[in-house]
Amino acid sequence: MDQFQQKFVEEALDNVEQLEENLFELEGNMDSYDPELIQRIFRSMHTIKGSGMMFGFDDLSRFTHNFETIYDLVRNDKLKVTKEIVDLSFESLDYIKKLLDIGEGKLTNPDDIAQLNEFIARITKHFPEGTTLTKGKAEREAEEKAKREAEAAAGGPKNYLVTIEPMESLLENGTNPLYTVDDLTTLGEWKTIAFTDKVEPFGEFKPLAMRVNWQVLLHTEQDAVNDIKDNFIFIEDECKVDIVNLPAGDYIKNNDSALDALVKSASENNKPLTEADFEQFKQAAKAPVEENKPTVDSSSSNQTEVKKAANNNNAAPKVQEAKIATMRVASSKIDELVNAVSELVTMQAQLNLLSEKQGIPALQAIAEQMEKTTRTLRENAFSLSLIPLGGELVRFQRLVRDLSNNLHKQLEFVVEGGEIELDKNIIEHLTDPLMHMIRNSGDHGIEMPEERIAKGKDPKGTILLKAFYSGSSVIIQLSDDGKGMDPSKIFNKAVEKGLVDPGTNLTKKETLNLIFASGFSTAEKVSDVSGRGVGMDVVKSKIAEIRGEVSIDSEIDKGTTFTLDLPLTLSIIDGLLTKVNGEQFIFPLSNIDRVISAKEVEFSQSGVGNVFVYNGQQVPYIQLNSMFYSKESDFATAKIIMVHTGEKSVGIVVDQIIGEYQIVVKPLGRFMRRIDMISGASVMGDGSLSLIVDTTRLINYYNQLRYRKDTKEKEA
Amino acid sequence: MAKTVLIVDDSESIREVVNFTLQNEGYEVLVGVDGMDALKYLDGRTIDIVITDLHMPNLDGLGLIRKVREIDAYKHIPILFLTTESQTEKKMEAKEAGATGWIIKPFVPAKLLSAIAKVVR
Repeated sequence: MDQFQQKFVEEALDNVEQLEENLFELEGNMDSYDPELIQRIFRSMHTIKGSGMMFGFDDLSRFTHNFETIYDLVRNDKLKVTKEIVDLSFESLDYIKKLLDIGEGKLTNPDDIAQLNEFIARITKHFPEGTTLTKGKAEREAEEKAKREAEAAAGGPKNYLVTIEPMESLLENGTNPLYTVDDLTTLGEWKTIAFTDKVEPFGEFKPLAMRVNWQVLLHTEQDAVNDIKDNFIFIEDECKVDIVNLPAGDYIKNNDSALDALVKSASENNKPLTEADFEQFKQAAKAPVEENKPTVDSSSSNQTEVKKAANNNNAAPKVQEAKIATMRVASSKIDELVNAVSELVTMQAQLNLLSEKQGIPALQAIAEQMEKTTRTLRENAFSLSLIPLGGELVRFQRLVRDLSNNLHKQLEFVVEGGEIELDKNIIEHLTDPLMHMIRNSGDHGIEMPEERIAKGKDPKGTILLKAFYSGSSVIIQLSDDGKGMDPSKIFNKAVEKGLVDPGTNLTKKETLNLIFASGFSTAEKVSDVSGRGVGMDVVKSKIAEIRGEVSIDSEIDKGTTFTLDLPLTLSIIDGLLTKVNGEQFIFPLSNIDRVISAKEVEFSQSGVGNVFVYNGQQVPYIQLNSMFYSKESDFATAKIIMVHTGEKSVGIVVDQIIGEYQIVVKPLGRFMRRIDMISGASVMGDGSLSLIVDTTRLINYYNQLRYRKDTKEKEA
Repeated sequence: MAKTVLIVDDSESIREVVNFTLQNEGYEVLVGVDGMDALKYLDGRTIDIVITDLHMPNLDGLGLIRKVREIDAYKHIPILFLTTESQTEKKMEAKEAGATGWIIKPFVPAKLLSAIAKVVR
């Protein structure tokens, strides 16, 4: 595929997305839709068809042509929008996507071709009787070719007399008839005569009124009537064109003196030539017969007047400020920009450090100014990589629609906060988990309509996707009003699968969260829709990949809510720099609730492990010293960073707090990637390295260690 | 002097391919994404020919053609529109609106250039 074709595919996919949105709108108002909506649908299809033809997607444009006809009929009130048509349209969009995927050229597999034809037949079936089906391009071309060949076969050299009588208004629309006359002369040997007798005398001259007529004598090597006609294609309605076959012979070609005399006399007397003037060339003996019938002058017509009236309507229009609302930029370019800005942020930190050391006031002033500019640049660069969640939502809406059809349930998809923006990398990682969760809600969450009625619920189930900002994160909640999850069922299942000890005492929340454990699936039967072997554990790990968290809440017969807590951006975060055993560790600020001194609180052992008491609450804690270095912290000087995971607080004990930093997150190398407690590293201003702690995973890891220890102790 | 062509199409791929073809031939090219957008170029500068799509949001091709014809400086410049073969009635409408001629989609570069040569040299 060349660059233009690639562009076309991208653009066509955009159009398909647009179409999907429009179809949803149409489906919602089938009885009272906005005519402009149909126009938009038609336009998108037309663009796909037109550009498809341009770039060699023949099957695609043939298909879209028929699809488009439906909406052409609709906008002309010849066809009514029905559910069947909307369904068929959605299906057609899927098919268009498939054809785009196949790429340029024609389908070759006979099955595929049969499928295409069958699909087209299903579409044309909806056309009311009497609709004229436009012929396929191939058919038309074949017909035309046959026609031309037949004509050429009649061939041999030909002579023509072409009389051109333009209308007075010809010049108004930007036509230059001289070009047309000139083009005729490229067809063979020629002579032209201009008749200028109707041109006004100098004082009355109207430059825009077309007063000149022409005659062109043409000798061609073969039949050229079509070529001659083609020349007038733009002006056939503003010009009287008469093409007359003249007797055969080389008299035009060879500057025959009799012909020259004829041309000269016609030109001087402003008397157009007629067929009869050429009798002499048929049989040289015959004398010319003067028999000039004047041709009808059609220079003043109604059409001209109408046009003039229309032109007088308005003065020059106000030129409205045009808006290019969006601009397409390759996402790799944005990534490059963000990378460069990240580097700049690091260098900025170095410069700050240096300027402080040097103590040169002028340098410090520059460093400070640069810091401001860098921050603005950083913010701008990052806002570029933010895209609204709304763009992805059509896919979900489509999914819910398909689900309702496949499952025979009534499902409605409601979105709140589609305008919320997220880093494109985050959105990319988000689509699959969300699709999976929506599928689950539709399949397992929402009940069949009868069941819902029996429960006194609306037979139509709702899946609500709600997005909003919360501090420096974005929260996405996906809730359904279905049957909810039964904690006792989940617990039993978890025990059955050996994921949890039967004696364990868990809160409701903890129990529900067991569904994220790997190897857990509540589906009793694997259905078509969900249960493709992907469990909620995959959802959780996908979300964790983008430093997000997922939690669940559910009420029996009320419904289930999944809450995703996501960072705004991935590449630069605000972090708290700390030291543990002389090494630097960074905690994302967004996870931190507060920092306290270890000497202010009391440490103790309890049933759940190491805890300290803060504000009357027992808070479990983790010592990074013991996790990473098998050492004990010095509680006299240590600091505790309180972080939250879900709704729980956990303390993380570090040796020293250094301060807040803008952190450029760099991924860890290949060898360290599997250490999931550390989500990345960052180069500090002085060139030293810090590791970025993923608090959620740290806590999970700690809990796993503890659980293993517990079971070992029990076994012993 | 190089002739200036204003191309107006809401399809980016078409814009690019037309732009590429014309620039290669030495034309100066101005690009509008729809009729409304194209109006910004009609500020008195020399435009030798306008090539516009018919189906566009905001201001469609017919609307654009009418607007161009309302401005004295551009009242008689050549305007070609892009159309598909299946739309004969559109052709007539566009001519009524003041178009000079048309280019049938799909077109190969040679066809585009010869259509332009019919009205601008």
